[in-house]
Amino acid sequence: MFQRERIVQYVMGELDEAEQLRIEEQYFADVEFLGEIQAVCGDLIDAYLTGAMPRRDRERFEKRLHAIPFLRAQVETSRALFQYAQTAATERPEPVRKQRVPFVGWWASRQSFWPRLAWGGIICGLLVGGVWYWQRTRQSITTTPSVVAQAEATPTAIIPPPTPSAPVVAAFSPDPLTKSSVPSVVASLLLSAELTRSENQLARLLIPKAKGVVRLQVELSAGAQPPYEVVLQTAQGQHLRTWRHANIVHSPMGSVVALDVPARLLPKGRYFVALKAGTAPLQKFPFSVEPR
Amino acid sequence: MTEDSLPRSKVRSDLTPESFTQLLSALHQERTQAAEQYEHIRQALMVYFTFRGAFDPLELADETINRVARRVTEGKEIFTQNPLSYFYGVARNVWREVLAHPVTTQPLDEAPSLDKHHSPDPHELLMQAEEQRTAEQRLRCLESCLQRLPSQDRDLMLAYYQGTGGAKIENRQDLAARFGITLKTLRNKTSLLRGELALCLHRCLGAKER
Repeated sequence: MFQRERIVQYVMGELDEAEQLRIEEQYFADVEFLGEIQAVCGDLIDAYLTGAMPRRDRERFEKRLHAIPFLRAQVETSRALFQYAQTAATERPEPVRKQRVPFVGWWASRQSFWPRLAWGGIICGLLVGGVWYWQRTRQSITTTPSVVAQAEATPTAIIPPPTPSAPVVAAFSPDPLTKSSVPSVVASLLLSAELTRSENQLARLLIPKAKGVVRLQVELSAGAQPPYEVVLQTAQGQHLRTWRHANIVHSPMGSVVALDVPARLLPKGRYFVALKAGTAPLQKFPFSVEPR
Repeated sequence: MTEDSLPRSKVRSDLTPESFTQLLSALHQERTQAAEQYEHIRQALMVYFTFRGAFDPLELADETINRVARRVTEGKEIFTQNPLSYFYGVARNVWREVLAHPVTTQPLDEAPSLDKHHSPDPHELLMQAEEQRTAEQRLRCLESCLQRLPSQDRDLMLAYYQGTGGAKIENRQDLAARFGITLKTLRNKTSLLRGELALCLHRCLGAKER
């Protein structure tokens, strides 16, 4: 058996007791081998978090995560490291700044009452405007398929996060890497397969300078079947994020998958979202991002 | 003795500076080599208890080291051939004791359903809020744990975890070149540091829960 495969089986808990004892004796005696076990474990965690692990291995690994509490702790550590490092890379020239406020604590950091009230007012305005815009956009999609749907970061163009009054609620479990991100939507864009766009008619997303989350809403075509997998890439093909395990809620007006992406991950440029639904062919939704 | 009933306060306080020095001397006459061997033992114990499924591998690793240190302090000749094998033997005894008694079970997270059609209910929203709170706490702990690392290690870790997909691979290759080490060394170094950070986070989150 190849060494790496043997180590993977050890990490996954798939060796019999005798073989497990042999491995344990080996790493107690050989520091190199111990290092290899830790490194392979790190590779598996990385692959799991970045969506590079094949589905079957992913299921094996998740079973193991449920059985091994400290492995779960290591996965959470790596997840936090990925998030922290990405934020650090986009926010600061230096890797670590002492008084940094973590991204997830953004809202909590607004301690005083009046800024909260002001933000609350803005968000309420966005919610109302978003519902109105959503309904208008949905109507225009069904009546005039050639209309380009675009949402700009103005109060009337922002589609709200799911609320009890929103007509379509798309709950989409994010990939392991982004599971803990906090949605505070600052702009939103509807991407629909029914709309044909030429190169100079790309759906355009205008992002304000504020920190927060951009919501991309991908319309599911009629008859789309799970499992769903959505990938966000730059036009040059650089992978940015993968989402799996969609929980889709259907409404009479259709179904939408909402993808929350930190605004700072989308600098000016062209991107596309690729949607894989069941056995249907891959659908691509191009769009461009511009600062507002 | 169950995992829960292991003497928490004794586990770490047992290893006095004197008994630790005696233990190192018993491992190797050269202090540097003794320290390296001690680090190997500690890491091996962590891996052993982690993959045996211990809830707190650090505590059991400490318990193992304390038992050996106690015997050394008592003047017992224990390392006949290979000290590491001796630690392994003691670790197996510690784990047998854990298995021989009922262990407090930990609640498991539910695996996400692939195609569940539903609206979020209040319980679900509550769970999401709790998840968010833990994530925020984890990030705060991570920040504090990163500050405790030497600045070079901290920079290395943050750089190592930047980028995804192809960009991540390129980034790691550049990083290895920048630090003048091979990719394998980089991988080993970061996996050790990640282990240290995981332990630090484990303690930090545990302290916040109490």
